[in-house]
Amino acid sequence: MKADISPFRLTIISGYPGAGKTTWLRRQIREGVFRSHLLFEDLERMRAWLTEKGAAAAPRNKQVNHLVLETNGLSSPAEIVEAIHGDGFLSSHLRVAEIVVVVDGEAGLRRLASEAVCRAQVAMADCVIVTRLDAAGPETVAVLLATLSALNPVAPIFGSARGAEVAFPPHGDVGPIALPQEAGGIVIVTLPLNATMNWTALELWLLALLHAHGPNVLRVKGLASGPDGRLMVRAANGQPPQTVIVPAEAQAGLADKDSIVIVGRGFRAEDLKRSLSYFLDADAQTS
Amino acid sequence: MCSRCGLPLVWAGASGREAPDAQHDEGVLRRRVRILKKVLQPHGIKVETSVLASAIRLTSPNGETFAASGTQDLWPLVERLIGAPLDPLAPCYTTAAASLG
Repeated sequence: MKADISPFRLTIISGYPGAGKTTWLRRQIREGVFRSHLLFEDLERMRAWLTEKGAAAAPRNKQVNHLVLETNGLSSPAEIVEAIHGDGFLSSHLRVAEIVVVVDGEAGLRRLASEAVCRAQVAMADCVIVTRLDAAGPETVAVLLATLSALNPVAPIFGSARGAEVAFPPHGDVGPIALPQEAGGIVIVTLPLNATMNWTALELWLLALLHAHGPNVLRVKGLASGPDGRLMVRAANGQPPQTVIVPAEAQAGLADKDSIVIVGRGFRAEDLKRSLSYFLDADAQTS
Repeated sequence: MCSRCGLPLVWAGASGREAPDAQHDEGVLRRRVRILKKVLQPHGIKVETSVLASAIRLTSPNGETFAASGTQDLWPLVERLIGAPLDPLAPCYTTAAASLG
């Protein structure tokens, strides 16, 4: 009988120690956000469960269809994603559906400035939760939001206090703090997109980058504006870029600016920018 | 942006709208050929529009030829012609861009 290897949906919850991951996660579980799930604290325990249950644990057998991994606060989701995709057993059983990163509204700015792993966590996020909004000053939160958007412009950001979703306090137009582009061996590059740029050159460049450096490109995620709304581009692990229109109801918390974020290792941010510039100029020079 | 569907040319299909027409495809193809001529020049690869519709013909300095029918098979075919994946981060691209900038 053929084994059922349809993968489980995996949500990775990450965040620096003390950021409020557990408080937020418990609240979400209590409120039914995660259904039919199993919670794990490390990948090895998840592997052991998958090994023990085997085909009987497959999602279509209904009991559990969603695994949640609440990570050690000092680990980067990039390492976890790499570990899964580099492991035939795990990659056939798990599909990383989303990476949620929890950031402390009070201490988050200091952590981002001083801790490379904190920057690496945010750079990989599909969604960022800013906690302790009941305690953090509005000015601090405003600068934190600007800094998070600069680091990862494509991840929606939501506010939280004691685990419950709350709105951000009103704030003026403030800028981000300056952060290093390198984070613990992981390079984070944000490239602006705009309606007038040469999308054909961008596509060719992105495909060439993924073909040549696929295993080192941990994540590509971009947002562009179109007539039907926001277009999301994502790629990882050498797979070709995929595009989806973000439904209107899912656009809350998304940054206004169109941009693409590339997270990877083994290359320099400056080389990435220069290389894209060459491809973009190639059409301009020859047309 | 595509003047017909208003989306980035290469991603027009993501909206679920009807497939782009022939004129749309030709515009994308011509632009791809222009870019590839410049990008593949350091490797001596000649780039032309193939007689097959919507294909790009690549010819190596020793005369070996492949036709790429889309972007997904383009870079694997370039790899076969030059013997290694084309590295967009190679100095011939990054230093040239730096001197332009």
